[in-house]
Amino acid sequence: MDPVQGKGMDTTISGLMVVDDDEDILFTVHSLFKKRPFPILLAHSGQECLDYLDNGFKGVILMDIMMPGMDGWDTIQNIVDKGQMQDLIISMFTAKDVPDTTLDHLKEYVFDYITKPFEPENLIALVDDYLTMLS
Amino acid sequence: MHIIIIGSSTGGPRVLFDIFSDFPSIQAAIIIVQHMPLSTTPRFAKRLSQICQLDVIIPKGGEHIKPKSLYIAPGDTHLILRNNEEILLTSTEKVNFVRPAIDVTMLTLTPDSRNQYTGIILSGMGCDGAEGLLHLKSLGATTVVQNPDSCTIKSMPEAAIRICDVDKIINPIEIRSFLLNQK
Repeated sequence: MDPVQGKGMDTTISGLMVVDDDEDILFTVHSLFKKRPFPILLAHSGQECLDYLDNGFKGVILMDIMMPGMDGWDTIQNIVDKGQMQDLIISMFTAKDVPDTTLDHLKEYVFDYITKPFEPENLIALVDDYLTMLS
Repeated sequence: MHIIIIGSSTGGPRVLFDIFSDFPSIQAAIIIVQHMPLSTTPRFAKRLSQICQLDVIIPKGGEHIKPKSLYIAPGDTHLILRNNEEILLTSTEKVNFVRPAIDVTMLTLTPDSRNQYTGIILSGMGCDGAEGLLHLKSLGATTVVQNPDSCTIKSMPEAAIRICDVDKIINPIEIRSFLLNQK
């Protein structure tokens, strides 16, 4: 796996960031997109996601919900609080089927909700669609 | 005039892109209330304008709605219709945790013999749009809800179905066909 790393990343073009504590998921998604002409960042935690954003990442974020420490919703709350939603499209990326309704206040920041396991073709089509929006 | 209000939240954009892909101009004014931040609004509108033949407009307030147009409620403002024709934008309190709220837009419509109304609720979290759809039903509108089984998130359509005797519960491809047949 040879993902583009956060420091020194090209911040002029939109990329894809996958935030997941499951190394297999990161590997699978990276394999699907590694030949694409945009940066791919693999974040193993919410904090790593926030670090990439501080380094200028913009693009599509696939965000797992259940992660140790800061979960996906907390991470989104942090992104919102830091005013970093500009130039981002966030989709939850999770095995959890039904979202927690107590998180209604964050729904306007979540464009989509992709469940795992996923169909590779569908994931590629969605990411392409959302990256087109950001281009 | 035929006024169609579409309420959409999480999982709704992909449905909207499918519905409006290669969509021709029709004699209706369509208003989309999509839960999204302000920064996403121009990108969302641009994408729709690339795929359909409707005149896609992000209103600034003061516009009189016209047929063959697709209005996108801007993020962080509620969109209301004064006298069922003039768009006003307000930054009043969030409703159902969101701004724009679908309910706010739908509830501003009033009985008007000049107009025909349709309300549509797509995928999303929470219950926004349910009361609005019920209100539209009371005005004689055709009410449509995306089949929850086809939704990324079911709770918003299910909330609408729970409180409103909706006219159609259909899949996205059928919503597209339904809209194509509207005058």
